[in-house]
Order: sequence, then C-alpha cells, then structure tokens
Amino acid sequence: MSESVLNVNNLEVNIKSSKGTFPVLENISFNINKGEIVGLVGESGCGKSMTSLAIMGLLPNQAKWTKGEITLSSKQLQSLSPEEMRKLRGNQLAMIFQDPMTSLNPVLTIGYQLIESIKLHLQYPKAKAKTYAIDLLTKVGLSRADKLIYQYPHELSGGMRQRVMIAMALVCNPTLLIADEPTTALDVTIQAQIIDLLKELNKKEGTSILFISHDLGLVHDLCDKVFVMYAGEIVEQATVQELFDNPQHPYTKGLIQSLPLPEKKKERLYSIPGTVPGIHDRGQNCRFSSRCPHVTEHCTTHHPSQIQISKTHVVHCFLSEKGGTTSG
Amino acid sequence: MAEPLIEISNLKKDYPIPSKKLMEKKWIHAVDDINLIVNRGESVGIVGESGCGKSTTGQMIAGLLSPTSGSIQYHDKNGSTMNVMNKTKQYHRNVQMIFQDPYASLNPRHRISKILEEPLRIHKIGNKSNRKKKIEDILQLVGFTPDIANRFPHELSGGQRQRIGIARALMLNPTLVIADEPVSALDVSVQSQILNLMKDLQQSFDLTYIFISHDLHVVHYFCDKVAVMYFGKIVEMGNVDELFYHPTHPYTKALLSVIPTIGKQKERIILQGEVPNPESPPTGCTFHTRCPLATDLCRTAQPTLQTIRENHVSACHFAMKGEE
Repeated sequence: MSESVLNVNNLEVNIKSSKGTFPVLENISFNINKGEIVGLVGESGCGKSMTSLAIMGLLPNQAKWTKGEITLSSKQLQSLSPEEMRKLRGNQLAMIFQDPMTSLNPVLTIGYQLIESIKLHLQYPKAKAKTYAIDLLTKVGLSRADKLIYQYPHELSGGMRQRVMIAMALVCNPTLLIADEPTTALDVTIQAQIIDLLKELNKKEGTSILFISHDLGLVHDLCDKVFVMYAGEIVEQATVQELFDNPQHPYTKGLIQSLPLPEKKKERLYSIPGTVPGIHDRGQNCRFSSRCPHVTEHCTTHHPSQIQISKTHVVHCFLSEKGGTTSG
Repeated sequence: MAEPLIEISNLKKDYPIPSKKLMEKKWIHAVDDINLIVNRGESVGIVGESGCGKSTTGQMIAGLLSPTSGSIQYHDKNGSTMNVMNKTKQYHRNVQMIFQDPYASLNPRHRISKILEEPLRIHKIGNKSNRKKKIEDILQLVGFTPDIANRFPHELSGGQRQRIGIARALMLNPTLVIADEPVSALDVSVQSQILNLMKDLQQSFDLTYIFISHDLHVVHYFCDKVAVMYFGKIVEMGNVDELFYHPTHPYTKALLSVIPTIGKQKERIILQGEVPNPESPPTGCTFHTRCPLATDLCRTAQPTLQTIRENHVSACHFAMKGEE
C-alpha cells in the first residue's frame, strides 16, 4: 500500500464579508499518496486556490479554517503554531505560483533569494549555500547558473523565472509540491519544457505534486489522479483514465465537451449556461443544479452525497445514484 | 470566388532600441516582411509564441500602429481600395478590434451605454434616439437584456465583459474584425460561449476575422486559414486542416506536438531554449538555434516561403523533403 503524504479530511473554510460569514470550502476530503501527481481542476472562483492556501497555512485574514483536519506525513497542521508552520513551509511543503513575474523580488538577485532560503532552512554556511544554489539551478535546466545567481529577475524570461521558482521550491526536497497554474503565463513550447521538468522531478525525487490548473489537456498529460471542484466542493474524483473515459458528473462532462477540438470543427461548441453561484447564494441544494441540463426537482432541494463508482472513482450527483449512466 | 479584402505586402515594423554609442541607431525587426491576403468572409488565424510579432501585425492592420514600410490595402465591396496609411475614418469604420483582456479594455468609469455609444459619436452616426435603439439591438444580439446598458464594467463577469467588447466592435457594422487573443483570459466553459457567439455573428453580419492566438486548438476549431509566425516572419501558412494535419515546418510540428490533448499520447518534440534575442538575430534561418534538423545550410542561408501544395506555403529548406 502506498504511503499517504497529504490527507485532507472534511475541510471547511469560511470567509467573512459585509453580508455575514459564508463557507468558501465545504467537505473537502482527499488523499495524496507518495509520488503521485494529482490535478485539481475547475472554473475560476470555485475554490482551487483557496484549497492550496489552506494547506500552506496562508489563508487571507478574512478567511477562517472552521472544521476538518489536514495531515501532512502524519503531522496535524491545525495544531501547529505559526512558528512551526513557517518551518514546515519551504521545507516539507513548497509552492510554485502562477505568475513568475510577481513572485520574485525585483530588487534582489536570483542568488540572494535562493541562498536566503537555503541558509534559513538548512543552516548552510555561505560558500556551501552558494554551491548548492548553483546545483539547484543546473538541476532545473538553467545553463550558466554560476552567472545567473548575480542576475536580477527582470533579466530573465518568463520560462527561466518559473524555473528559478521551481529551484527555490526544491531547496529542501519537499514531500509535497503545490503548483498553482504554473504554466498559465507561459508559451506552449515553454510550458512543455516546464511540464517535462515537473515529471522528471516526480520520477527522480519521488516528490508528490498537487497540480492546480484549468487546462484539462494539461491535467490529462501530467496527472495520475484528478479532483474536479465546483463552487467550493469536490464534485468528482477519479484517476485520469476513469475521468476522461467515463466522466460522471454533468459538470465534468460539460467541461470536457466545451473544449474546442479539431473533430468538432463543424459543430457548435457545448457551453455550460450561467456562472458559478457566488458564495452568498449557495444553499442546501446541489450547487450545480442551476446550470445542470439534467436537473430534477430533487436536485434543487437536496444536497447529493458521495457515490462510489469504482474503488478510485467518486462522484457527488443524484444521477449516478440511480445506477443508470446518463447520456450527456 | 475568393475575393481579397485585405492585402498585406512586404509589411515591416522596426522598433528603435537604445544604443551605447551616441550616433549609432539600432533597430529590432518586430515584424519582418510579411505578405498575407485575407479573403472576404474568411477567418484567418495568426499563431506563434509571445514576442513573435503577431499582435504587432494585428495592430498595424487595425491602424493602431503605423508600419515602417510595406502596405496594407483594403478592398471595398464596390471595387475601391483604401490604404491603411491614410488613416481615414472610413477605414476605421470597416476594421474594428476585440482585445485580449476584458478587464483592461473597457473604461471602468463609463457605463456600458456610453462605452457602446462612443464609436457612433466619433463617427457622427445617428441622433440620440437612433443610437439608443442601435445599442439595444446590439446588446440583444450578444445575448443581453437592454437594462445592462446602465451598468458599469465592474458589475460584469469576464465573459460578459468580453461580450461587451464584441458588441463595441460591431457598433459600426465593420467588415473586418481583428480579435487579439479574445478568449485567452477566459475559462473553458465561457470560452466556448464566446467562440459560438463569434461564429454566429460571422454568419449574420458577413464578417471576416483575423484571429490572433497562441492556443492552437482554438485556432484549429475557429479558423479557415492559419499563418504561423516566428521571430517576426511567417514561417508556414495554409488551409487550417492541411497545415495542422500535414505540417512541414519543424516549428509548426513542434508547436503542434506539445499542445496538451485528451486522447492518445503522441510523440512530443520539445524545443530547447527560447526565442533568440531580437537585438542580435541569428544568421540564416532564424529558427536554426532551436531546430532539431538544423544543418550548415540553415545557419547561412535564409529560407523563403515555398509552395508545398495548393494553399500551403512553408519557409524551410527541408519542407519538401519531409513530404517524401
């Protein structure tokens, strides 16, 4: 049995606004095993980034963790003090952000920023830290690393900056790497290089990766398992094969159908009507009922519970309950 | 049958770059000698990596930038020809643009009605009540109820704003619409809505599109013809199915091989390195620094566009060889 790296159980996060307190994340439960690459997909505003921030312990001030547990390699994250959490971040937990332009400090050299975290976490002396920084930069595929450490972020291209971010995340050989849309700001050719790098890291170092993206094609390429999020909940989770061969939730089906593929050239594209309900208008119904093509009376009044399709495939939808697969 | 609407010949755009020597002038060639014909009713895609000059080309066609040299001619239905260089209001009435970022391209302090009225005001079309009627009609066409006219852009979602951007482009009944990455900032589900809308409008208004994008799936779905740009030049151009199923230029092949797809795994060609520095462009074929097939010939001689088949040209010394 493979060993669990991250276990999230029944996570709930509330956000405070002028109209009161509303849940942004509810009943989030999932498990990531060692060496797995897991995709988290969904539209903007469905809580993907909030989930990753909750794991990192970086929730914004208005948001509050109200329920549930997050366990990282048998450590309960909610019981840790801010001090202990800070030690964990960058050590066992690391994160790569979407925009490599804004996540590096523009007035400090690449070397300074990289060596800072090496000194902090590993307590290496200066010279050793520098050699290690050069090693890391070489490892992520940057040439001339010995010169690069004296350069500033603006002197590098987007792809190079993202590689620097990955190098920084790798300082302590994290057990879990969270990548929040790491290639959205990059060109397809550079995207392919970065995805290859992530695959290689996963293979060589056994790092587990939580890959957040809205690009289904990319998730299909890279991941072993996928979680589909909608309006603050995970509505379907399955292995990549199962999800794309046999999607169960109408939302997942809608997302897959709306991809513009060459085969569909003559047809109209499917589009999911409406938008994700805001946090103020989420009631005790199926959250997707307002946009679902197969909605029934029952869906608008009850919240669907978890239905096991196979050992690794779970969906939250009344349609699958009846046993019949729906034509989509 | 194919009736040319826009004829672009030898189009160039140079930008000056700062030089260390006082009297020395250095230029980078953002767009370098482009020839392109856009026929009436067609959707032409322009694809390439960032910095390849695709947006610059689009902006020159829209008349927002003036070319360094070359010409862009617009052929009217009644046979008369306009040149973009003259920057006449008549030209701008016929050629409109949709921008990438729906958050940045609408004035946050204007109501939707004012945003949509602006083109009519500038071109002095109609009186107050005509204009109001026209705005209501267009809003209905892009799927809104007329009451949205009193709202501000911040009250709308990204997809809704992009539809306002499209509505604005249509206010003057243009013949050509240049769409610069119109769906890149949107979620897949909204992206399909916008693409459907643009296709519907093409039918009802008899529009011609120039569709600039880096997303090859979207271009393949949406366009009839596609031009692949690299480093300021068109490296391969042709009918969209022909080009996507039988690419001949190694750059096009690499681009196509790395688009993430659902379905069978294919062999991927991962290009090494990045687009070369435009301040010191490589000699010969500009792609030789990253090309897996590069030979000495590529390092010295610049390939020109050769006809591979009907409606398919490619600028590679080995384009024909790949066919055998």
